[in-house]
Amino acid sequence: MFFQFILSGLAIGSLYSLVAIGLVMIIRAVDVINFAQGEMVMIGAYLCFTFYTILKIPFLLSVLLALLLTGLAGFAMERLSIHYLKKPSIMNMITATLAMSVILKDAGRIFFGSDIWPFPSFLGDQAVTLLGLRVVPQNMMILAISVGLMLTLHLFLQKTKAGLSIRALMTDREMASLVGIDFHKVVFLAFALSGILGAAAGILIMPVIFVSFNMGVIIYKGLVALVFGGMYSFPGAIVGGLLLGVMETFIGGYLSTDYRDAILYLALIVVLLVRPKGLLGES
Amino acid sequence: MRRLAIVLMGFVLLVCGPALASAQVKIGVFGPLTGPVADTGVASRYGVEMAAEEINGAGGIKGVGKIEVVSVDSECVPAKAVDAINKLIFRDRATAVIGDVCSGATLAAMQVAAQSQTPMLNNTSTSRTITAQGNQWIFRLQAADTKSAKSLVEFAVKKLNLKRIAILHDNDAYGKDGAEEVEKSLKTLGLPLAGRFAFGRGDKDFSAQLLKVKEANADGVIFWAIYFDTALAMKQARQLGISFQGLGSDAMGYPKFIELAGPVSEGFVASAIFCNTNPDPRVQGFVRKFREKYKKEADPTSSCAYDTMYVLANGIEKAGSLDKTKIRDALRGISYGGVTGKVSFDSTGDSVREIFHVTIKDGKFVKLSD
Repeated sequence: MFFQFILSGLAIGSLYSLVAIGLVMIIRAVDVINFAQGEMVMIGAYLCFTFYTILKIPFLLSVLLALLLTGLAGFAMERLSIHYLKKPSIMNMITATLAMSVILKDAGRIFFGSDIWPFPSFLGDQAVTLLGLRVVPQNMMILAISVGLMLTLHLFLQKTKAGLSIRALMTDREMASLVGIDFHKVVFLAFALSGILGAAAGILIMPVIFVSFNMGVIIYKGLVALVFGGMYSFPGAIVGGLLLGVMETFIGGYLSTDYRDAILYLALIVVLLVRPKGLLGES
Repeated sequence: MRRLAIVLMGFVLLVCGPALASAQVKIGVFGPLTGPVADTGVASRYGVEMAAEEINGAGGIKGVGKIEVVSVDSECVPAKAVDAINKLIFRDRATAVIGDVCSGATLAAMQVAAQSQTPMLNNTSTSRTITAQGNQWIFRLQAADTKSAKSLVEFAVKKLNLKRIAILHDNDAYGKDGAEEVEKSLKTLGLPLAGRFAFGRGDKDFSAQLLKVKEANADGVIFWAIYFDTALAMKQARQLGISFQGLGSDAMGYPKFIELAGPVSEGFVASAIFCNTNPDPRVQGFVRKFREKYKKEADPTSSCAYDTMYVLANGIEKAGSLDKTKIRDALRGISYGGVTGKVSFDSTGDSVREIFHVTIKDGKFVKLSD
């Protein structure tokens, strides 16, 4: 039972990790928690669902289209909200993303309807038995891709010019503009990228959590994951998400299902007090 | 200046005049049109609107007039439900109202209905407290949790011979109250509870609860939650290799449940007041028409909403006027046979109706004989 708990915890945790990765991109670029990131997840999922299930477009093409269009949505979102703020403070930008979250969620409901839709798992719905434990292939795929994304993004930030400009902006905004790094260009890049990341998350997790206009609320689990793992760190997103999943399953399994969330958030407060930067937190 | 005022007044009368003369019976509908349970609120509204259209198509409510349905969003939040019912009664001058979906919102709004002496009918809320408040203006058409839980438990024990039943429920009032009713019924039958496990509404992972169910060796699990979560839980149970007889409240009687849960829904048993495969031509006509009109499958919410509008229309016809007290008194003694079967009210306004059970076979609902 113990090991099954761990495995199940890692399985749900991998969803949280994947969603959290999209948050880290914007946090690293402009120190802003993008509350509309959950809606990027929702839009990506809905687009892929529409292309594949309704329009019968081949799967890989549907995925590609969904990723691109959601990247565009991320860019559009930034253009329509943050771009118009003259010298945006962090609070202003966060408020703008909160507003966009509400708008996009309702737009999703009006556009796509209030129904909930299933989506077939990519590798089948059946679990396989490994060493006496039940493993769902979709979850393993999610975990593998999360790790892959983390490595890719790490390389992107370290080795490419665009990545460098994102890091420069984060380190010192004034200095960055002095050496010719355009704040708005970097912000738009970060939002477009996290749009794509959100879509990737949405496409991967929709077989597990179903497609609905409200599915973006999973972003709040992503945020909690970042508190555990470290807000500015891609590895932190992975570790935090997995830790959150395992803790949820253990607390529910061994302590109490009724008070699981209360105990979990108590643990969150303890982490904030003891190690506010998170487990893998850097500044 | 005076000429302008006269012209303006004439214009206003011209515009408002027809509106004042056309619909005589304003029926207010409130429920969640946005928010996480929006699909239920929308289904409810559709059921009411379709019935109103049919009634108007046949000439309206005999001796009274045509129906105009006005709907306001409550998001299933009690404070907003109060807001919504206030708008409908005072701004829109509704003769009667239908709402809400969630029991909490219904309980809050009922008080306004009583204060303003407006008949309030409800087609979805199942909490027993709704008709236990001594409120003289509420009429509930759905089956109360007490009744459906008792019926389901008896079916599980007597018909399915289950010996170790566990309860899996959500942490909302709906799940908690329902779980309590199930537990009470089990106790009455002298059956031990294998375990009672909660989860948050909207949770995506149920492995902790399901593994505990496995540990308790339960042969049956009664779900009291929305179909969204139950479908996910059933899928995960299969993935974890845990098998049991799944049972649930009538929240699982929705075609969407079958769609979301997929093949693992086969054999699931749910409490019901509506079965969309009922061969009765009236039911099939309703299902077909609803599907054509709204591109959605009829479910317990829309079908009960449809009957609720008809019940209300019958009450107004019986009262012969828009007098709210007369309508209430007329509703007291009403008996109506609709797509959810025959319904009447007891002295507390609670529904008196048949509760049956459905199972899922080959991806469709099938009515079970008791």
